[in-house]
Amino acid sequence: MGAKPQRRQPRPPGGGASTEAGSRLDRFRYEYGAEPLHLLATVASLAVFAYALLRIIELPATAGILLWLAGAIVAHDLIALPLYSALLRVAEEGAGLTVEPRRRALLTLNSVRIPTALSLLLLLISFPLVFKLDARAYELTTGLGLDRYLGNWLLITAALFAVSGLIAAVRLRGGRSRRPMLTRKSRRPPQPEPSRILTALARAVLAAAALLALWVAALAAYGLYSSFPL
Amino acid sequence: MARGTAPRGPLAESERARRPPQPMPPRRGPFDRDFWRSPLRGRWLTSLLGSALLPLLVLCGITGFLSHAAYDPNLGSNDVTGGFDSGLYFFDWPTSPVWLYSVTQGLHVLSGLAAIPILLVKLWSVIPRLYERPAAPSLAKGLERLSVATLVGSAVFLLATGTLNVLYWLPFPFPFVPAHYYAAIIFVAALTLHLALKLPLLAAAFRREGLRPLGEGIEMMRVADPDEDSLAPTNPAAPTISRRGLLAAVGAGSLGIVALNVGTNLLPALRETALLSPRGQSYGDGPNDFQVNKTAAAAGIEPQATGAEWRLELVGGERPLELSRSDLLAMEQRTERLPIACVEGWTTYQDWTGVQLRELARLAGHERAEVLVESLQEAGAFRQATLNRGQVDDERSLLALRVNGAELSLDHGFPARVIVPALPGVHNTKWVRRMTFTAV
Repeated sequence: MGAKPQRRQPRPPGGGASTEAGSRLDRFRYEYGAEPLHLLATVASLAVFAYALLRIIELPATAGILLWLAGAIVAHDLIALPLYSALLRVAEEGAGLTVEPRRRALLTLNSVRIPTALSLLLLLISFPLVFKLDARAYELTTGLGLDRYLGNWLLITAALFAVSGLIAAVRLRGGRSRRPMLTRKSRRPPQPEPSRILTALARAVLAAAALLALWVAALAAYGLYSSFPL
Repeated sequence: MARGTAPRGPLAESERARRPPQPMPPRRGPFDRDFWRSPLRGRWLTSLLGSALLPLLVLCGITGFLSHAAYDPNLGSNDVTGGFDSGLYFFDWPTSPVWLYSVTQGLHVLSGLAAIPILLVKLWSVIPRLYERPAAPSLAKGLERLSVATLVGSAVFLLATGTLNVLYWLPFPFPFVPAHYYAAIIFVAALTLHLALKLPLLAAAFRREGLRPLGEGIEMMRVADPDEDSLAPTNPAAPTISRRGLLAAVGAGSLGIVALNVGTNLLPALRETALLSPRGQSYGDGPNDFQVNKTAAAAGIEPQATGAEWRLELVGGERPLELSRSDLLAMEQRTERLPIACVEGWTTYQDWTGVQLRELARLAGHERAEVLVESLQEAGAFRQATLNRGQVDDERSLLALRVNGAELSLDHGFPARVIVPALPGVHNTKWVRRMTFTAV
């Protein structure tokens, strides 16, 4: 199944065994694009998929389930990933432009973006608690309140940044530049300056990120205030 | 040959015929392979992430289907998925070891959560594939991509709905259990095919490179060859992090999630370290101060229904019996240390005191029986549960009246609740009203 001959380039009949069966197999490979076993495995897998779909159709709120299954792809591949890629790109360019030399710029960049990513990851698996999205249901079900979670998340975030800063400080002091950077040369001529649209987009994303950061900061202040009123 | 300068005359046709096929129009944006510039991408990185993800997903899958089995979907109305595939769960869920469900379900939730950062980065590592054109150069490739779509959709769906269910925020318009269950079946089918097709590539990447790329710091990092490796960048940017740096960050995320959640299940002594878990909070240190799955208020239990007039109905014998709470307290009492282990991945061990279920079965005239336990709760999928023969017969299975030497609190099921070793928490019915025994 591993070898998948290209369509339009049928594999020459193997050895001297150019029997009729062999050529029919080659014909199949040519038309289908892979070995017969590939078709068998794919059809078996899709049959189980079809079974699950049939079961889902009998459930209440079928449309909701299908929408969420398709929405999962859209939300990740077409929204979340482009968004964080754009943010990363803005951060990389920002660090590269403002900090010299490159080694110091990279250390700074990573000492900020790694704890940020980890903090957002923790938020991803706890945001309904942190932002009290359905506090009434939680309180009714468990008999507990949601007050502690925003503070906990902020404390963990602070700890992540502290550790990261410490590591960066040690590495900045300790290591002198060892060897020059080796990067593979681009095979294309150097890229022209990014287009104005891209630049404007990058600025817009940066502005959105700043607004988001402000919003998170405001929430944090509010959460801290409600946890520890003055 | 430039356009507009085609030779005229008798040779023109044959000249045109010999012209090589026209190149495809240039692709733009993400459809242009040069758009994807990260020097980290390549088969080796994807393979390493895949080999970290695989054991977690296998563990999560096995423990997930075990959880379905633990609800004994063949009995009574235990099956809430409405499927006829409950026939696959041919065995009765055992009662030993008592921590069985606590561990399998704890591992289910932990492995699912720990998979999240690895899955995200793995999807990032293969995102250029989404934009490859033509989308289906052959029928084989087209079917494969359809299957990959079901793989990505079901994986993200499972992790999202599972996490939200654990967090008590249910913004989705469908019942969680059957949706999660059938999405898991889609996932298993797609993952199996994915492994059959991709494991040879993974093996080849490791045979070729071993773990050598882990030794490369950012200064010495090699970029994969785009001619041999379709995931490698054709137009690589200068690296801003090494592969091992990225992997270390992903590993830290995954381990951090485990560390922040393990206190709710596998290591209950460390509950307070579960800082971001909905079940990390302490209720206090009184005898009834432990995790409540659903309060009496949420279940709609009227306190007066649990007063002195409360009677336990025992049905299934020659004639129904009614027992008051003092009748039950007059029977032989037994104390067992047993866990409540919830499907959401949290566990709490307590000392329960009450009457053995098998004594109640004998009272109803049965030696070997299943039992349908019904609650005072009026609505909800789990206001009743059917227990299998082995669970009724186990000497540690109790109708608990007291906990940690005190009366049960209303939130913990006063006047009486079921507690059975290794049973999913929600099947340990609270506020028991009626028990119907059936000989088997």
